[in-house]
Amino acid sequence: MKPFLLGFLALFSACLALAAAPATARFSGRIESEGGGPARFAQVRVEGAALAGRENSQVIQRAGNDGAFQVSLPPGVYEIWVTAPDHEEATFRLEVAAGSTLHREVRLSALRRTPYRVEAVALPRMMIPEVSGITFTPRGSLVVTNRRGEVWIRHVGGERWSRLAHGLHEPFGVVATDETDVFVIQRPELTRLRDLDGDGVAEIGTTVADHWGITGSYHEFTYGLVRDRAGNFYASSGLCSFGRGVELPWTRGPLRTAQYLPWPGPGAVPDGHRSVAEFQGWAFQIAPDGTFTPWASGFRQPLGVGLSPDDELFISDCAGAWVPTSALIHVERGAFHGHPDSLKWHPELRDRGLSAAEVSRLRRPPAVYLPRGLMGTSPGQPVWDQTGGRFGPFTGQVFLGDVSAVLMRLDLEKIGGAYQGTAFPFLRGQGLRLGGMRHAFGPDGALYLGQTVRGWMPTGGNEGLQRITWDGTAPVEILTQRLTERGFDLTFTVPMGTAAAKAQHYRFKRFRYDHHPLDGSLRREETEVPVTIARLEPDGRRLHLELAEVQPGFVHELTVAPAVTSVGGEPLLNRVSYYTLNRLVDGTTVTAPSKLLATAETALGPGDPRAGAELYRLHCATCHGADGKGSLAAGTPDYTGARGLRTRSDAELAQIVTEGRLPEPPAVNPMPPWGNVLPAQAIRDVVAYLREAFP
Amino acid sequence: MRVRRLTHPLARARLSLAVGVLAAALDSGRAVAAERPSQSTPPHVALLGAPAESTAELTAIATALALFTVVGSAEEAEVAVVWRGPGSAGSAVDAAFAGFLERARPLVVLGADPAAWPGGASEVAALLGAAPGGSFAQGAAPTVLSDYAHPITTGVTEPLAPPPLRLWSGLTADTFVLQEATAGEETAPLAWIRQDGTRRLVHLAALNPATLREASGLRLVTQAVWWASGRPVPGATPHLQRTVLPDAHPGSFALTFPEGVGVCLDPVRGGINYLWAGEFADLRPRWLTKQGAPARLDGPVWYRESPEPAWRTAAGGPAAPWRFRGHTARAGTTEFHYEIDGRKVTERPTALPEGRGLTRHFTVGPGKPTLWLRLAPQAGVRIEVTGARREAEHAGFTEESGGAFTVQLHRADGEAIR
Repeated sequence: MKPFLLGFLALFSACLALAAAPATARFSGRIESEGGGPARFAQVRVEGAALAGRENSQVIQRAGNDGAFQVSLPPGVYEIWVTAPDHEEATFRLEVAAGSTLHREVRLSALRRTPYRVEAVALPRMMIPEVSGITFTPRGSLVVTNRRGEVWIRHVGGERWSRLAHGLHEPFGVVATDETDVFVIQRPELTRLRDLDGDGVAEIGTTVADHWGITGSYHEFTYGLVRDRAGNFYASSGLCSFGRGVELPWTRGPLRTAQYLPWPGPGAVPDGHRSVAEFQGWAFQIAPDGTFTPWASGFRQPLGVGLSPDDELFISDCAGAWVPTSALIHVERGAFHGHPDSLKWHPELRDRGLSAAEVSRLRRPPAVYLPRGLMGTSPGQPVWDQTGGRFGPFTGQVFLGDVSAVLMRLDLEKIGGAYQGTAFPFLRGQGLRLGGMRHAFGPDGALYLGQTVRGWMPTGGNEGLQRITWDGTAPVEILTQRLTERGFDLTFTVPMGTAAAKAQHYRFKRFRYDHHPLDGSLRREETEVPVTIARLEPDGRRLHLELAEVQPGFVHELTVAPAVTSVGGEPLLNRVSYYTLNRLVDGTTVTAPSKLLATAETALGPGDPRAGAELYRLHCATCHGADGKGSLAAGTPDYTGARGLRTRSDAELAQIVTEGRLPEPPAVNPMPPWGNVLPAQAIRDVVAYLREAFP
Repeated sequence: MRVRRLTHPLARARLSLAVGVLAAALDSGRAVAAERPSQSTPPHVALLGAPAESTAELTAIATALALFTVVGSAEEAEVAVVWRGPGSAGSAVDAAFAGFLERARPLVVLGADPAAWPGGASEVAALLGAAPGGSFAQGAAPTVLSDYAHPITTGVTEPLAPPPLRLWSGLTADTFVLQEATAGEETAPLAWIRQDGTRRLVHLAALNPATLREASGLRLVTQAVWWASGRPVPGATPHLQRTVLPDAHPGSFALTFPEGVGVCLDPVRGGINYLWAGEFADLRPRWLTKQGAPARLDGPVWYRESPEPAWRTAAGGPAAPWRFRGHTARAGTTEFHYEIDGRKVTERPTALPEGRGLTRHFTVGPGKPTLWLRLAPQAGVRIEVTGARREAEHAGFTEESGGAFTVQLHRADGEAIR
């Protein structure tokens, strides 16, 4: 990747800042339920490159009780996600011109009823419901921590709560040996709390380990907590938001403030997350005697730490710089998972100064990508269904929630010694609250979800602790999706009708992500992959799908047509899945030449100058001027001058628009790449307009 | 300042006792007194506020205040307790109350009602440091009533019943919220304190006829009086909170004593960073926003150490290797545990009476290395070392078999903090 590609979002901001500030537009609307009236707890999420200065390049706006919302946006192209509990989400694309006023009425259709019931678990009346850790004792008592530093226990056999401890420093995970012996991961340490006299209050807080650095940055959370059969604990540390709350000299341990992989700039660093203090961005193991072992590196915000039934460590990380989209990662000792800043604390690589390409080669990809949108934004703790069927037919599969009121189900398989697999939505809204960070299966076979949001989005009090129970009715779902040599084998939870045997009812798209320092990645090389054969076994449950091409290195999105129903006519509860295909069944990871990509390329039509004119007005005129004369302040050239555009071929112009361009002195502002924003056809349209307008 | 009349509610209410309310108040008052007898002389308290419809409430409050010496005029009072307000404009006035206010005496206001203040909203806002009115969760009921750890909220284990909230907003920077209603991200202050010069002021905004029937409500009233008077709240114990404090490593401990000593103990330094005159670390700045800010202290710092590690291998020598090993908290006593140069060390801080200083009790396990604790002599502080060798700015513990020593940090002027 060319270095200047790395700076798209921030450079775009810089360009805009130097040019005259564009007038913001007003986007308003109303969100209604198909049943009539406003949809409760509805919210609008706006994502787009023009919001690069914001975390995750997005704005989240909660609708009022009347369903109305209003948000100010800079000019740009946006993806809009409208969500509300118990409703299907609505998504659409929005192009916003400077100073414009747009209004949309959005009607959300209700989700189908599922055999899973979501209900609130009552918390103590004086407990702020920012639930940051949940577990069960071997006897079955529920143990809950909250971010204000309390540990509460709901004792087995009743509804009585007692407060074991308070005054802790933002715990984010808990493991309980019993009701009197509880381990809590706080920001600065792993602590063992013991109630020696059995009065329900811990007298002793023993520091088990505190070997990682802390700076005071609000974002340097310490996450956890799980314990393997040998008694080892696993936790993780998020990168700090450098410049926000890092209180020098009040930092613990050595500091390295400079970026490991310096931003090629100019312009602001697009992501302020940095491993300033020791082992930020690492997962670590803590042995029962307190021995601290840095376990794996390369994490950004590893919110969720989980152990498989075989004591394998999995961690969920959040989209952002060097994390193209949120993901579940199988973490093995010594592995590096993508964010280079954590390498500052790597014993061999700390001073090597790896290049971006070397960092990408070093990176071990996630087992399962969780594409932003349907699969939420910030995933929580993975937990394995070991209920023996009391939670439905998903024994052995992984469940994890998300901050955006989504619960996901993951079906993993091991190919060539590495995990990969499928992510399915499980619940979307449907009574789920926001902030699903911590999870545990209870002794009752129910899945418990602890939720906290604090400032990341408004909740209106819609967070806390919930329980999901199964009513015993078979859910109509894709149970598993496994890779074959020619495609995928699917199994369904119930026998499916004959429509399930038709290839045209299955649509596959594949795409890949960029591993780069920008704030997440858009889908790249998105291509339809035709289904050539669909064969349903006589049991109606097993389906073999063959694709025109199976290539590694892509996420495969499957959308099943609504016509595919159970024998009884019940539709699938969730019709979309995402399979992360890192390796072919023979273990191959190298992409072969693709006929599909060539097909997609040749499918582009000639540029349309009229469409290009509108795109130029929206995206280019700010810096290049509506008259093409450029701007001294922005450092853009005069297209109408002697050189003009005549020395460039169409292909060169398309490449510059796609990849951006470093500045030519005395200009200092690079042109941002638009390949992440505009489809290839749109870029052709822009080039066609340039040719016509500035011959 | 307008002049208003003090009335003694016991006299005015004698013929109109609300028997149930009175009984509850008596029970509560006796229970609190029996549970946690005070070692201090009870302050003289006057009860103000005489709206005729409040007779039963006034009686309940007065009964709870029987723990103290209730007096009939503000001139005799050390603390005034005001129910709703001293009376509307045009009511009988008493120069004593104006004088009481002008002398900046302690004041406990219960459920202030601007209509019951002659000067109305502006007067009550100037006194309480908050303006009446505001918005809260679009009228929704609070989901949690949150108490912050302060001597006044000691033992309040059950939230007050959600009252019809009287909203207050625009709290001034010198106020500290002790209790608030929350609904999602929105909060409404229910109780706060303010130290306006030498006056201690408490406003229990959530008190109303319903909450006055609850033990928690009456407990808050009596504890507010104790605190406002500058005396320790009976039964109040030190409170420990690990958080981000100013001028300390993140994860430091705020240890606050009801005597009026606040301690910032920094486990990364292995020592005390500073002491402040107060008993409260306000964590709302940390908790109410996404990014947070260091906790706020409720009084001035009067002792401070430099950021270097506290333990040394020799007087003036390099830092001793140390690790923080945790803490123990039981029966109102907190201990911090370290391993320093291979020796086990426990520190138990205790407050000197009336907030005059702090005693650091050290217990040292067996071991050969002499342990040197850095001291920070400074103006206004007298340091006494017992059981260890004092060398300039260090206290050295040499006993290989282990033992104990203490370091006392006194306000040099001998004055009580309060």
